Amino acid sequence: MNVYFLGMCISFIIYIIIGIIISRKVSDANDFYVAGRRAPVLLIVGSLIASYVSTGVFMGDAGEFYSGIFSPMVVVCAIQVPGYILGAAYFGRYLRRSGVLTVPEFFGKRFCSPALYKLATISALITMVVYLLSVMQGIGTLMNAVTGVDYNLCIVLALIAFVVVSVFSGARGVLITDTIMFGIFTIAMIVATFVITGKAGGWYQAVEDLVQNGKQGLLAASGNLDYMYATGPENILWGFIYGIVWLSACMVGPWQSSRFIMAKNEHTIIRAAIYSGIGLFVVEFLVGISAVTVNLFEPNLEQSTYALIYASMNILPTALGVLLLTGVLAAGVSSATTFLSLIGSSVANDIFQSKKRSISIGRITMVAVAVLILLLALKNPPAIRVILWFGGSILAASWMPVAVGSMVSKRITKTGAFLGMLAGFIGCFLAKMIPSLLGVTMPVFLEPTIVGMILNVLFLIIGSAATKVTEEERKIREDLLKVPESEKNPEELSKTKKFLKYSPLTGVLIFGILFFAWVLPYMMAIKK
Amino acid sequence: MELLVSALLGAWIAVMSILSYVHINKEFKGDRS
Repeated sequence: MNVYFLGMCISFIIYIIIGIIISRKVSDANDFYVAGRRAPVLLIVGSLIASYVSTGVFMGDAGEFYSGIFSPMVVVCAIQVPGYILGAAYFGRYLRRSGVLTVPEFFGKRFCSPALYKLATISALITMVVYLLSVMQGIGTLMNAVTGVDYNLCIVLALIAFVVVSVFSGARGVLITDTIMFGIFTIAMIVATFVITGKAGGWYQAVEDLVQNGKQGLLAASGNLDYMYATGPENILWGFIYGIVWLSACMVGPWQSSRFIMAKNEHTIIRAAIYSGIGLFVVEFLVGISAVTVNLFEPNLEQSTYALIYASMNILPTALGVLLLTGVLAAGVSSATTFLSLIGSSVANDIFQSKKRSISIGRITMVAVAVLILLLALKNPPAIRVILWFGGSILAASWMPVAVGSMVSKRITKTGAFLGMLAGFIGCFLAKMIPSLLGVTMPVFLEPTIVGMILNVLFLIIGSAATKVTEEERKIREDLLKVPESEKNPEELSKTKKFLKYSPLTGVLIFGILFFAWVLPYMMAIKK
Repeated sequence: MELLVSALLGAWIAVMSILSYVHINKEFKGDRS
């Protein structure tokens, strides 16, 4: 047993203890499924970022930054930043107003359509199971690489930790542990970035060395042209398209938008959304800086996804290495608790449509789902990023246009929504599968998500044009658009308006970060 | 080129934030039904 494994096991024990302590405070089904709908800004921000950031970011994204597509990855990270505030404005607030327990339930309620409800449930469950599987594989791969302990045993240990948290403490526990884990991996990443770049002579010196001695185009806007696409514009376009995919996931993904259902009020949703966009960018940018700097210590890693693992074990002091690896593990576990909790809630509420909404039904389904996921995880090979992108793409293509359109447009009917969601799902799936079966590479602009989204919008329009909005559908939409009296507290309104008024400054802030941490040192290095 | 990419990304975030602001503000003012 090495010190890293010890650190990981201790963190598991701490999460389990916290989960058990919180479980004593879970008094009813409302507490268990939606944290009593009274979560403050801090818990919503912590859970939004922690459930988004998983081993996929610390391993998959880190590998891409390390391999030389720093600039396209920065584009992905920045394009997705407004996803939270757009999600809060056009979807999240209506989710909370509707009083539903799960996101698929919203679609069913908004369009008075059991068929749409079922379709949304199926697509959400497929996506979340895929995600949970990939997160578990990421955790297993990480623990195995670091400790040498058997991959399957690592998965079982991690599963025990996040099943205990999710099953005993429900949504309330998941929000609290997510926020703790968000704190752990953010602090670990900030300190690690300073130490890694410090050991390379400081970030500006590191940029100079990377430009002179690193891989071709490592920090250039075009990216490394030997790695992905052969031209700079194609690489940037790839970054833009994947940025839109992840922006959509931030807007409507069930593991993201469901956090808004748990918020104390709509003001909490709006403020949390603004903070989360900035927080997510900072975490991902730090991952990028650290991973790309690893090139100066070891430019030929066999597996680029191990860039931060290499840094933890070979560049950082042991104690900090343990902290960073525990942080990466925390990122994986926090996403897993959210997914398991959501899958359990969805099976209990959307599949069995339990009228009692009891805690025990939720707990039983979570355990059953965990056993099923474990069996699937033990049989599947680790392939973190590919699976993750598949899940995100399908959801963006099938949900985004319908979710936003459901509240923005008064002309969308249940038939249009159903056909749009189905066409987006099938279109994205086929556009992803067919080229890989035929062994051909499609042009970047025919990315499956874009194909799926276009089909979604097309069928949404055709289906809605061919049918009429019923009186019931019209009334539900109008009711959802009315701001509840409880949200009209003058003090809260004035505070939220201030937040919104200054939110465009987020763009200035992100530009400032990019300018001083990327553009300026890169330009100085090129001139030398 | 790097400067242009950064500026466009900053502008994208600012424009999307303004869109959200306008949408929410209209609703709070009671302009939507």
